[in-house]
Amino acid sequence: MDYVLTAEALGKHYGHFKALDGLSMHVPKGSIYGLVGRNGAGKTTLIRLVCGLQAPTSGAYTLYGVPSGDRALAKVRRRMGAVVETPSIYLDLTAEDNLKEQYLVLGRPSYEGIPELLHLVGLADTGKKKARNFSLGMKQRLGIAIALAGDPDLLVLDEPVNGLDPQGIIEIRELILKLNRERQITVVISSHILDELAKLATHYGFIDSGRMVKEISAQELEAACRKCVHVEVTDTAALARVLDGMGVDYKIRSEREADVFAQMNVSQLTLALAKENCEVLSMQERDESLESYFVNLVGGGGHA
Amino acid sequence: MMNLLSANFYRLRKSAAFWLALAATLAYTGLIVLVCWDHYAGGTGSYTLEAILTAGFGLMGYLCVPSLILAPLLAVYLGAEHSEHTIRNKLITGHTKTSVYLAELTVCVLTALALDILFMLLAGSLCAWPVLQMSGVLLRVPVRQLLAWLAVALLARAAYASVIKLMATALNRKTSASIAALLLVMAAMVICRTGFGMIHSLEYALAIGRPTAYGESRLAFWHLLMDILPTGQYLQVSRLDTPNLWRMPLFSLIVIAVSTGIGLTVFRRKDLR
Amino acid sequence: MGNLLAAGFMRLWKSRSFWVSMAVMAGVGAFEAAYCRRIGRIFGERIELDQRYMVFALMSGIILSAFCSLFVGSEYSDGGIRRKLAAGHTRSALYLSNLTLCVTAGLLICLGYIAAYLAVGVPLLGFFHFALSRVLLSTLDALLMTAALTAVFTMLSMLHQNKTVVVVTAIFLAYFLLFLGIFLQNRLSEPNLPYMGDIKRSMYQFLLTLPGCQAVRLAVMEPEWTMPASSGGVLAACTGLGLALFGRKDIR
Repeated sequence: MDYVLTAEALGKHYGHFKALDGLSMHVPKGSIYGLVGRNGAGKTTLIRLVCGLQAPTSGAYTLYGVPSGDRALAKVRRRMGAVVETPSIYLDLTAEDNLKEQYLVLGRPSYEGIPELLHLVGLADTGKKKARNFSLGMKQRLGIAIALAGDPDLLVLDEPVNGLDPQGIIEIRELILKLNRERQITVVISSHILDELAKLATHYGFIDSGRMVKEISAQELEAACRKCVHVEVTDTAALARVLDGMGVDYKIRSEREADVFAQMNVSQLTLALAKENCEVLSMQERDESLESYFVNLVGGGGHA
Repeated sequence: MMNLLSANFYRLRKSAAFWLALAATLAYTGLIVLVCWDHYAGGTGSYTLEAILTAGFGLMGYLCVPSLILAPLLAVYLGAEHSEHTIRNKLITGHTKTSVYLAELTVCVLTALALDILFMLLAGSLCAWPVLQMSGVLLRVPVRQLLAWLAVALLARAAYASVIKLMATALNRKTSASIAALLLVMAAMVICRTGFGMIHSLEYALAIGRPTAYGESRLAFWHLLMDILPTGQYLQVSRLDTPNLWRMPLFSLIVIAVSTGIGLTVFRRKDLR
Repeated sequence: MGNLLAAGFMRLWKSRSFWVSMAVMAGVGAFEAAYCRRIGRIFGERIELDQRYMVFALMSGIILSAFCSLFVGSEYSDGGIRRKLAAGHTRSALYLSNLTLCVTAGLLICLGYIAAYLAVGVPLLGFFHFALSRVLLSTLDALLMTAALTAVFTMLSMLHQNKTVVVVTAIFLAYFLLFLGIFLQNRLSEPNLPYMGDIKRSMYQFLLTLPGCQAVRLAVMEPEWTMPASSGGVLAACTGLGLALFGRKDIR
């Protein structure tokens, strides 16, 4: 498989604090790679290293096959666009001026394409309004537009839907999908909104405590995510006894709820429970969500 | 780096701080021209053109008004890149930290020099006639001397801009950089005023043969300090009194080299957010 | 307002800009006293304690312009003003508490200079040569002038949310007033001055009483009744104007 971005045993220390600790990563070409992790897991640090803002303490990464530290990396970076943490925009300039500034940085011969870019991110009507007076969502969109100014092959987005309203979230999702499908742009996207990421990503990287815990494709994830029957009963103790008797895998969620990981004969179960004086209140089939997969993978507990 | 320069100049043109600094420079030019014409009208002055032109570097021998105008302009312009994290946009697309630093430094130096040259052109042309009427001559010094003074002062200005650039790189924030730059001007003016006072007192004491502890070495020290500091250099030029003109450009080049070297080192090692 | 002041004093106590300003003024005070002694030794002259005592009047405006803008400006940038208004405090209480804090800080900073100058200067240079009444009067005038300048900077900071703009404007204003004072003092002291005209002379003398400008007269301990009157007037006017405008301001 062709990888656009790889990292091998990447480490980053700030004094005694290890933000990244031997992280390895493989981003396939043409994918939408979702970086999933708790606050303080190291997602933004990883993005900063890959964008060349900071140097790794140990390990290395490659961008289009060019290793970090190689002089040729500077040229290869022209194929990349990124929004790191907060949008990097000049507050005293308008949206158009910000894009013109970035076009000049990139050495683009003309300002052609700026109106289309503004239209693409929904900022075509901002006129002479300074970025200082934009809403958070507008600033976010402008940051994405600046990242797209160089027609990149690789787009790195750190929490791009932060501060967007539901309509805005949908628009950004559609934009990312469009860029990926129509222009074959590889996208690395970190987000806390796992439901949103689940609608986008073709590959996932789960980060925890500065390490890559697991990399998995969306298809593999789907296969791995367990289907279950969610039952609501009046007595979970009775349910547990019955299910133990049947030799079925289950998990008690609360006093009245449980997940049963097997295809059940509903009548059999209901009758068995009735003998134990336990009523069945509801039953639903469910898939394990990305959220629960993630929580199971990294465990509950502390975060930054 | 050409891309970075054109982007930086574009941003400078759009920067309110630049236009305010330009307006302040024009106001200062107007003040100098007004004072010149006022003295001409009142028959009380005998200015020469060298005094008018060098007023662009200092007033009354110790007030560095143009430095005060330049300090917030450079600090705000440079500080914005750090405060608003727009340096990221340049590094992400492959520009090196060295080229980013040097491009910003170049823009700062050229802007500072442009404002000085603008002052000299306007004040010189608007005051030429009253000066000729008041003094009978335009210059009381050879043209070569005047050009040497102006060249030294402009190089000192470049040194000043490189020090502000170092400060802005180290401080990271627009507000902190502005405060530091403005307070640095004050500190430099106080040091120079003290220095000129000490030089005057020591020279007088030595001339009349009054015993003075380590008089000659102290005098040499103060002269050296005034020649090293960019502010000291342009205040000496504005006073038309430069006993060690030959070594000033050398010191300015050293200041530029050292401040740029330190600034580049600091910037390259800095972990950017 | 008591709560606001208590919270504000706690913030002042932990404020880096306050302690840096204090350290700078104290450092300069100690340096000035030691330097006077040094100069006296170099030239074999006796330098009196009075000579550099009032330098704090020249510096306080510039130091406080930076401090007030930062201290009040961070209320805006950190959302302090929003929080306090949302918690039910009135705009006038907010304004007056910030003013009180800045004036207190300004006076403490000036006292820092005085304390350091006297601590180093009295053992080295002896006591004041001028009458103590003159010294005390000049000191009080200078402190009142500092309070007036602080009121101006507080007003600027409370009315504009952009910290950088306020800092630059305040420092420039401080410089402008000081330079204006030097210029006016020079003009009024010129020997064989061509006839200036009563109006022009009166205007120059009036301007020289403005806080910031009067520092030049206070530096040589030449207090006049017009100076504290002017400082008091500026303090009252800025506070009134600031309260009125802040009351109507849209907070973001």
